[in-house]
Amino acid sequence: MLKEARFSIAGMRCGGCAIALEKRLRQTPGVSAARVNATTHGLIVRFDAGALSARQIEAVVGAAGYAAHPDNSAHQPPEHKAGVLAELAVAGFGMMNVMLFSVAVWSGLTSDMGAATVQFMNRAAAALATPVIFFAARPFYGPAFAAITSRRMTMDVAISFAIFGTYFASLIETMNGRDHVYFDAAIALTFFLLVGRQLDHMLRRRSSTAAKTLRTLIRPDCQRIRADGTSEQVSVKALTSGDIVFVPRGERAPADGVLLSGQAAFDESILTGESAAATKQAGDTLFAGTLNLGDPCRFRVEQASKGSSLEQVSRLIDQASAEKGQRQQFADRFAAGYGPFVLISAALAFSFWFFALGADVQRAFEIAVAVLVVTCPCAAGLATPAVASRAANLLLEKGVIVKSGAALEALAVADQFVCDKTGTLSVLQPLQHKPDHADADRLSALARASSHPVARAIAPLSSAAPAFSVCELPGQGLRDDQGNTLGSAEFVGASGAADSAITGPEIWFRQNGQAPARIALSEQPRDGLKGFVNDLRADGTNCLLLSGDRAPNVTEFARRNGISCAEGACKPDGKLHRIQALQAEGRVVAMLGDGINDAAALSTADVSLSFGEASEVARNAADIIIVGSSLRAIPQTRKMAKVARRRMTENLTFAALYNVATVPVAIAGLLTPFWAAIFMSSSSVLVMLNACRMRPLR
Amino acid sequence: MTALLYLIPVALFLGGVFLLAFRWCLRTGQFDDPEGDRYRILDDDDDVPLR
Repeated sequence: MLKEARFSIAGMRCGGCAIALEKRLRQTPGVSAARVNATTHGLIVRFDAGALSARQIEAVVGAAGYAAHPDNSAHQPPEHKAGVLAELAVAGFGMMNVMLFSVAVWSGLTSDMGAATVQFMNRAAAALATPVIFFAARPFYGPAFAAITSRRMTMDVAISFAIFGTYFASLIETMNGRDHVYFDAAIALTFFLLVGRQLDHMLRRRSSTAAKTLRTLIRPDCQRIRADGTSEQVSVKALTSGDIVFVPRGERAPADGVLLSGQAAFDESILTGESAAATKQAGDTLFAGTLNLGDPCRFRVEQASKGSSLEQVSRLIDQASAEKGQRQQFADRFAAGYGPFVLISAALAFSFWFFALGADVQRAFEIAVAVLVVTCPCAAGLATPAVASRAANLLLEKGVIVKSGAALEALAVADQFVCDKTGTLSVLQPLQHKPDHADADRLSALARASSHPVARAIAPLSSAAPAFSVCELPGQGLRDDQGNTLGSAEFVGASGAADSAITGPEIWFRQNGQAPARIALSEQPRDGLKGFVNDLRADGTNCLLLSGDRAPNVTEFARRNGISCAEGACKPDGKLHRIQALQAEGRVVAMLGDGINDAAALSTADVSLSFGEASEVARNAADIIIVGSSLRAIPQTRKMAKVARRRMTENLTFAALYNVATVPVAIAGLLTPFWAAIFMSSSSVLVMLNACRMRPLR
Repeated sequence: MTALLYLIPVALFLGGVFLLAFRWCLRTGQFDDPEGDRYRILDDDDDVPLR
């Protein structure tokens, strides 16, 4: 049986890679056809379902050095993929051919064209313009109609008024045999606005491609507990119903299932929009993608994650990528305020000329249309979103996910960085040797219950399953129901035993009833730390290290890596208050962190950054996520943010100047609707082009 | 001016031919993968696009 599967591919550098991969797949027995799209990084494979499975195809792609991820979003209607190219072509055709008539009439007006010929030309133009307008302006009047019926004001409404106002005015003129006819203006306006729309579509298509690619990189995996009580790290895709899965605090449930342990608190806001945590008892249903805010828990998978649940997890990542929602929202908010102004100013222009200056209806209407067209706020509406989405695209290619344009602007002006230490500026080496006087299984079991970097470094000691009924106090430690504790010296009750002369990262483990044992960990600066610190120093941005680690360790780490300010022994709310204090001093604070204990601080900071490998809560709270593991991405992101901010300023200045310059000219009656259409639409195209001027980072 | 009576239809017809040609390009996916196409032209193997 022949089957077709779609994937998105990560790791392709150019079209050559696409063709090489394609050939390799075609040589695989069982594959009947394979096609890689080098533009969208998509792969379509037809294969014999009896001889091969989709997983095996993924393995073949993996062996070729790329990563494949099943793509369920490929079944989009074709017009969505092509953007508005068809409309653009029809509008272009219509514009050129209507111009054939209108240019003839214009030149005829100064020469010897007879009235009958002029009428014939106008009627021919009307006959051609009618189907063209109704076909090509669909992307504007469709949404505009929907907006009006739900009593909203959008940019599309103002545009539709301009296009159809010009069109119907011309139609009435033609019917009455007069010659104030501007079909060319209506179509030219449609054409250039479609150019802007198409550029916008291409930007968006690029970002959805990049988002899909990233999804293959942030592969959701989870801890599955084997029948013998040990645990293993598996991909969410590998889960089947009946599996027992462990969800640490601050991570998401990978599939739908039933809670096994006593009590849990889950944030179900992605499903319900309700931000208060839902309390769950044993036997309650947990939903894929919901976030564990309470203690670590176990659940039994009911619905294997083939369909809905995995999609939900990937949708979260889609949301995180440069998203349509926000830019559309911004444009609509802008239109809601500005749109009525467009209509009112056109009405005022009409009444001013008709009543005050006594012009005839045609002349007054012509001026009103010119004003309507020229005040359309397209350029201003596109000014920042176009830049934000271009910058977000370029950053996505570098493995940096920007959740909002506002985050980029804040990053560009941030004058204070606050960083976490462990897991953020430093990485811990996995623990090699079992500490003396400690049971490796117990220690590992307890550590597996947490997603903290220290716990992650300890967990591989043995393959024990995560401990039952563990409670985690962020920034302090873990305690299970048998009285074993793992955490800071103070938390395990070893303050007296702690020797402040010994430095270096450490963690204390206290088995029930025994003396606390110190576990020394080895810590290395994260890749790119030096460049990051130098970059901050270069433009005078302060950097403050706030860590929950012991103060001597923190100051020592800061001294060695050239960070001037450092504070140790910070509790989660301590970090939060420190950031609020800095903001009260008037600083724009950027926070870089990775842990559950940083989440509050991350959402308070003006802009926050986190890593793809960080805890889910931190990724959720952060505005910018770095997928790779190097800090080198941050100076690049800062550079891009600064360029983006400059482009945004340019665009807004230009859009403002454009309106200031053209509106008075239109009201004075010096602008025909045709030229108004050209000015207005070219201003929005210029804004888009200025955004596209941003070059990729090297 | 009678020339207009056939010149205009001729102009519209020619424009229409190119419009249909463009529509054909869109429908058959000529713009789906511009990045890959510039490498494929150098590739001797015949391949069929999948959509």
